[in-house]
Amino acid sequence: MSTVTESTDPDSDRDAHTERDYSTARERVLSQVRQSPLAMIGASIAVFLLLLTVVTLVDRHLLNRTLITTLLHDPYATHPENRLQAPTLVHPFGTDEQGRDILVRVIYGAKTSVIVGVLSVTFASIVGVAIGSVSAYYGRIVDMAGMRLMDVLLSFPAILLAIALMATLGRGLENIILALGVVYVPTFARVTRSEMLSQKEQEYADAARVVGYPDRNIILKELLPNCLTPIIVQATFSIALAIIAEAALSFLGLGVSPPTPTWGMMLSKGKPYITDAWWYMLFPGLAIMVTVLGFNLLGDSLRDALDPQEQGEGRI
Amino acid sequence: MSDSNDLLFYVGKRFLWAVPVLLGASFLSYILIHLAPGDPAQIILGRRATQEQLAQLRQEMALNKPVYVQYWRYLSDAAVGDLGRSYRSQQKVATMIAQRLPYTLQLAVGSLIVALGIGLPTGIYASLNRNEFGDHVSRIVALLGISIPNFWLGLMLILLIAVHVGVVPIYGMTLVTENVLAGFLSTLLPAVALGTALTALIMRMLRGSLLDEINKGYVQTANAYGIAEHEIMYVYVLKNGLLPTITVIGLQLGYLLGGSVVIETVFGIPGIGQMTLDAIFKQDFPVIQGVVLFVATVFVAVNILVDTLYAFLDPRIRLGGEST
Repeated sequence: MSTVTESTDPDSDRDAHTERDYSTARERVLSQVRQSPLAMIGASIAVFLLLLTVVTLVDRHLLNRTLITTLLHDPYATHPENRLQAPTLVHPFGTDEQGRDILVRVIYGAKTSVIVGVLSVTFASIVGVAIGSVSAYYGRIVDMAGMRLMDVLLSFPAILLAIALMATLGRGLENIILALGVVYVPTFARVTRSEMLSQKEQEYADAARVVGYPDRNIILKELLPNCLTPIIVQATFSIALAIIAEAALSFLGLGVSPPTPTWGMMLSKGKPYITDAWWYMLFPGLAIMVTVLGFNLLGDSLRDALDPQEQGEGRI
Repeated sequence: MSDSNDLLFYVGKRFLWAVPVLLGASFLSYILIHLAPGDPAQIILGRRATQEQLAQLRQEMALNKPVYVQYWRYLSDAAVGDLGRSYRSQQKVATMIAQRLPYTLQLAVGSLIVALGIGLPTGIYASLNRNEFGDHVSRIVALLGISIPNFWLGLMLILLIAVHVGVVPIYGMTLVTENVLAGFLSTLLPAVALGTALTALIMRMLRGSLLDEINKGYVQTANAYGIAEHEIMYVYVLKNGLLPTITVIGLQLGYLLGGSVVIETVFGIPGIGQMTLDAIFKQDFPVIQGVVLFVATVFVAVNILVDTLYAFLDPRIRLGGEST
């Protein structure tokens, strides 16, 4: 840790700057992110959703929904007598066509979006980073094969590839994670490859080769840690894209199976009542937008802090 | 070598590169559908078919042959524009695509017009007025634009405008070739819904790349020579700054084709997107396969076109510079 991280004295600006250059990249990024209000908003939304996901998972699988039922309402219990009620104090987001409280269903829907977003991007980044680094490190025929394979995946529009994969795999949480994971692999492969190509030419990489380190160690322990910056930025934007894509798949009826509430499915179920029940359309959509906005804000700030030159956002 | 020869060479090379990619795409779309659950013969003949009928159909469709034989058959048919027949309607898939395509194209072109019409001027405006009020507003709008799901925006537009204001229809689409005004009105909301994300992306890209250009040395030099600011901006900076944005637009045209599946469902537009979704729920695999292959081919062709345009505008690329 650096001793002087923040200074209020204008005369010590230069010192603070020098100090900052000696601090690690992680400290530099964290301090920049802390100073930007937009970044803090983004980070807060992301952290809040992750916590919410953990709490709802515990409530759903260990507590059998007692927590949410005690605090608010049961997200699964139907009350036909309360169907399509406009927002009131008891039901701040109104009720759906089966009389279920929309607020608790929006809260419960968060976990699907977050789980799909985070896990599909985790899958995409692991596979993509592996393909990208091997391509860049070995070059020639390996590079050619790896990158043409990525070109094939990129020759389909993202959502269409996801739809085709879902048509083959069938509905279900694991299948969406896999389908969206495959869709975002090329983005990570390309980012990793271009970063790895420049790292490979650095002196420390030559040194590692001269000393006789095995290739695997050079890639994993020497080169990859220096390539992580753009990969992390890309992962943040990709989570935002994956959450939108999951919602779109659910909206089309290709998502997880009911009765698990998801934001996309709620919009699809509410569509027939669009003229009678605006709240049914408004709140699940707002939830998607705020979530995606949070990850995009975080991505923007991380990119500015880590790598101001980088422009990529992946495919929408 | 002359300039036009360079360009021809570049375009030729680009075309050759597309061949393995398209072969891969056709194989992937074939194998995906091949792996999908369900026996094609059973799907076509229904539950009441006898074992003999099923066996005979499997024979006719070469379903007993090895996968590579079936794939080769599919590929050689596809090469001459035969994408097979629908399991359900027995119609030719190529004909079905041709009938639905005008709607999807009208939606995609409309969205592109929205994206360029709003994205380009606001991107330029934001970079000229950096850190001023208008810049902040446009950046926030752009951030919201990339965060809003297109289908939800579509639903909100239906709710706010189509239902309460009227004028524009809530459902379906008229082709501009049939009725210009009705075509325009029925495309307006879906095009805004689909085009907003692209608009926002163009705004963000253009602002970034123009700001990069403004900070380059040649702008200072031009300033020092006393060239008028608007001339520097519109003659030099804009030309260079537009290039990366063109690439982005080219890459994202695939988004317009893919996103149309979702938007067509929201607005009840009878394009290829809705046809694909219907086919998925009816397990009509030749239709899914045909659309996926068709869209991939169009997408690859558009990318070659964009690269050619890029090479035409920027000699560095066709003269062997690395395009990353």
